[in-house]
Amino acid sequence: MNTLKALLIMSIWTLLIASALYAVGAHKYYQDLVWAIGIGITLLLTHMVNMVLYFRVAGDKPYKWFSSEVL
Amino acid sequence: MKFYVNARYLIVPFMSLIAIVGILFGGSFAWVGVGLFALNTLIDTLTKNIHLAADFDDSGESYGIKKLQYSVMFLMLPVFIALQVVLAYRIFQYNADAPIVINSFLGLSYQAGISGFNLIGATVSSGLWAGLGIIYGHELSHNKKEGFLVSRLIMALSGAAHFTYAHVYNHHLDLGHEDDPATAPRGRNIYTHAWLSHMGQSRFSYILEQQRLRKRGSSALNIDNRWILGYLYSLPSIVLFVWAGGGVGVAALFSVWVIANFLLEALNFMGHYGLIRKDGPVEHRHSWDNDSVFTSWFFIEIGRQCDHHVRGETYFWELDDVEGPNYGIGYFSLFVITLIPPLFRVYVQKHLENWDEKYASAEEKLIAQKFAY
Repeated sequence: MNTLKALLIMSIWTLLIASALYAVGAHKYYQDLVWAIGIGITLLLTHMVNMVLYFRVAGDKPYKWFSSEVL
Repeated sequence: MKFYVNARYLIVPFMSLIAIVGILFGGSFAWVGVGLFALNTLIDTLTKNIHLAADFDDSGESYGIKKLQYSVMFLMLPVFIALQVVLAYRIFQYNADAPIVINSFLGLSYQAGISGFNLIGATVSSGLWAGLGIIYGHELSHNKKEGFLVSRLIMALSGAAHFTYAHVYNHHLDLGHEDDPATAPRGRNIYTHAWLSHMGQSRFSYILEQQRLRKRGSSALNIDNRWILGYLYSLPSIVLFVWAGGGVGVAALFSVWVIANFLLEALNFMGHYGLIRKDGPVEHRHSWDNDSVFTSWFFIEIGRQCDHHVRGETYFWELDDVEGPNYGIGYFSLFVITLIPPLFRVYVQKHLENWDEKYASAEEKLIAQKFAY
């Protein structure tokens, strides 16, 4: 259950960032190098936050061999 | 003999370059990397019964030339960078709607511009060869000097720089135990394992760094945080693909990362599936060996897991047969079986029963019985 919760939160967070990038016109200006660097940093941070969200919400249960919680 | 022993480990560098040239040539050649993967599966299957031991001279010295092998491993970093650059170049052309025409360079014909279908081929080729290249990231992770950094940089090209720490300080120390996310317990399929192992290893590195920095009195939000630093090493790849193709570029890089990490976790899956260790030192019986000739040469002996896990800092060309548990077929063939979980379950059953009977300790047998297998 915690894993599903984690995946849901990660999806919402990713959609929020994707929407924000779209709203500021990232899809129009990505070939400008400064924009590309900004978008790249934003995507990397989004990925790292997603990882931390998963670690925190899912906890260590998914790794326990005899836990019912896997995915 | 010396030439033969050293040259046989050059299959991946050679084929990686062919995959790069294929993407550069364009057209259906963009699929060359995928074709090579299929060809390797065929060769591996046909040669599964050939098993060779490590080669030593009369005085017991290995024929492996350390300087040569390390130079090759270090040189694989620019090769893998080139693999991403040529893919980004093709994405740029696709995104710019470059006309698909045949051009010539130094008398060689190549296709400028690329179709969507062939771009998929180029992306899958890049992912597969980035994933196979992870064998160098693995080997160099055991090097305490500059090789460790090169390992981190190679792994960062696939968004997995955390692997270098997790592999040495988690996988090798906690092997065969639920504390090691890279050991797949009985009943888990390769797809679930790929997710859990990747996330689990990153989580290990994340916690390790938090604890290390806390002891030092520093904040975890720090450039000295090696978990953060590892992801920062991936930033140039992300910027390159964003700049080359926007959404298409990000989707391509994401695909490359997924394929490469799936192959990495497949190796972990095949190396330790279902094996159990109850405390005590890591022994040969806690890994599956995989030493058919093509697997040994192609994967620079990474299949000699039994010896590797007991002598972690031994150079790959010195690893030998230690008569540990062995599936008897190569990694390419086994990989195809793992992709179909019901088939893999049936295939692995007899091997697990054999392990329980011949290799497991009494305590390990008790744990094995707890799995509803």
